[in-house]
Amino acid sequence: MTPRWQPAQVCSVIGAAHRRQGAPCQDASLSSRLTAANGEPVELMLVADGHGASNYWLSHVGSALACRCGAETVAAALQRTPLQAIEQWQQLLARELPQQILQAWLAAIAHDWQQRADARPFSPYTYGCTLGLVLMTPEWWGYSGLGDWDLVEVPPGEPAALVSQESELLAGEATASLCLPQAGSLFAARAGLRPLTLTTAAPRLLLCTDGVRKSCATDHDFLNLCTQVSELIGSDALQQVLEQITREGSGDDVSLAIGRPCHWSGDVSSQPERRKRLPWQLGAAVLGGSVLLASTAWLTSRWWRPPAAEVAAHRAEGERLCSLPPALLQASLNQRRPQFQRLLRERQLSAALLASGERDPLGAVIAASHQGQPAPCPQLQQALLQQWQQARQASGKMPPSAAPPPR
Amino acid sequence: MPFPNVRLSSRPLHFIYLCDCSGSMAAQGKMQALNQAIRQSLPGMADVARQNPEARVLVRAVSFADRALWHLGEPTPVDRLEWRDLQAGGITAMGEALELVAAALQSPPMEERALPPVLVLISDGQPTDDFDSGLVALMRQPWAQKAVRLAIAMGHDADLDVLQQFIGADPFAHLPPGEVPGASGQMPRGMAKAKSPRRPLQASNATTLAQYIQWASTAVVGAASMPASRVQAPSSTGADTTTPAGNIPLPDLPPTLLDPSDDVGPLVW
Repeated sequence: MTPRWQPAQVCSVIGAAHRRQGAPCQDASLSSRLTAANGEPVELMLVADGHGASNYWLSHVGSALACRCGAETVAAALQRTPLQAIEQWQQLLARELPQQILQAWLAAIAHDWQQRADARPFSPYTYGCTLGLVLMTPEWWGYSGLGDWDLVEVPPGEPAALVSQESELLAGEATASLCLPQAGSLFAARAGLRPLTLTTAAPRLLLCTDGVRKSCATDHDFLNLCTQVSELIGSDALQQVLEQITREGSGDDVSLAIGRPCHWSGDVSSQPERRKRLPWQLGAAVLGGSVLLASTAWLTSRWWRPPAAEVAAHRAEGERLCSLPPALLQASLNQRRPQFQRLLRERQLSAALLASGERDPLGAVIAASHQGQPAPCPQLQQALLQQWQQARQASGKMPPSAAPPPR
Repeated sequence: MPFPNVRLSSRPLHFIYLCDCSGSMAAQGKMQALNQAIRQSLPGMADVARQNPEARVLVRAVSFADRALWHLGEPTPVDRLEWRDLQAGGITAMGEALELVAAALQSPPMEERALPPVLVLISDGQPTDDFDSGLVALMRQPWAQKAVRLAIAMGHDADLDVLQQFIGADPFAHLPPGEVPGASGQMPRGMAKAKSPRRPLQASNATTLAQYIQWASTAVVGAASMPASRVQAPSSTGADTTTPAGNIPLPDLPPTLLDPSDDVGPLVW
């Protein structure tokens, strides 16, 4: 199954102030590729920030355990709950998962305390920390957590935007924490889920601890930073950026986790220096594999036929579009401009759209046009041709099956 | 690899003195002692600022007598500050001083990324204007709620109730089991009326005043420069807060000043 998301890139760097003081880094981060019960790949990224006051002297342990417990709890939930049960996952992220993560964390820190043989009474406050997580699946992405982490999305071609931040009602450097008695109920305010469709280009997602945002002069700078950092390739580059952020900014520990959809052009799994050392044999194998894959996709697009129900759905949609006034028809197709462009880049997408005719009949009409199938009426044919021409101008390509209408 | 084209910034820490310049401050060398104490504290404060480069310590001062005025109105980096002496004369417009500071703590001009400010109120008497209105105006500002607010009473005629209102409620009354006090963490829970820098500091002579000013300008500034995150539940949830809203944990007072109400040296004021 082709994953929709690349493996998340995460990095935590000790703060300049902690480095001077000889204190440990109280931030933690984790990236994990999980598998849902139906075999679909899912990416998970987590960040946690231990509290810095002297009372919380094991918070660096607490934050690491929070990431681990969060990942284990989500992995278990993926085996019990189908990814398609979106409403159920919304509830999970807001209520059930937080309670499970909290219980797991409390048990973990209690166990850690026992290992220390410390005569002082155990208190969860000693390990206090925040926790934020983002779960990226083929059909949606969701988030949850508590504390002062920030989540930013960078949609393709659009400016970065804050998705989730802690309430301004809190004072000073205060934050919600896993060590609070009511921690389990505090996740709901910071939980959410965003469905994806075949026509929706998934955004890049950045999850960071508060040290990053506090190091930027303004929120505008912070969002610009997120946009630019989301394009970084390689863990070394990300670490260098974070080191500069803490050195010239807040001095706090900093953590950043980046989730990228697979259609994003950058490839975080490859390091530039590794590319340079790629042996020619391996390069030939990769080239050969690509040719084989492209051939298979072409053949599939030519000979594969969608089920009858899907065909009926997209034909009905075509007839409906033909009955629309020209302005409405134009408006309907304009909304799908990203889809036209994406089809030019990813030819194999047309088969998937045709197979989803019942769910996305307009997408199926566009995909059929991409494969050279004539539209039910000249008006729709002309409108589709115009969209392909515009998509070509935007991307420099033209579908081979697109042709001017017969005169 | 070029760094992204964004502005990184250290965080400003605004330190504001609110100084009583009423006529009574002219007696028994109190005004001279205050000027001297502030002037002598500046090198120490500058040292702390250098040790915490992530914070930009910016000093201002308000004087209040018949009216409240900015004695030092421009936020001045501590290493560039040259103290100009305060002069005594008039009554005690403390409420107006609070309103003046309230205006300065609005956003803007307060920066988005500022650290919690430090406000130090120093007085030897009672306010002669509408203190309550001034305090309401001040505490209406979120930055005032976040600020570290200290008060120093010079002599035994100072209104301690007013100064306590400025500081805020005693933090120890709200701590849940397991949450240690904000200072050193060494005080056992259950100590009623424990000595706390969150009570007015009573200075009865120049020596004590200088030590308190030194402590406020170094230890407190150091703590405020690298604020450690701490636990607090959002008030919208209806949950009890675990630490006083707006204040960060303060360092212990110096060993010779364990009890703010004790005197070190001869009684003068």
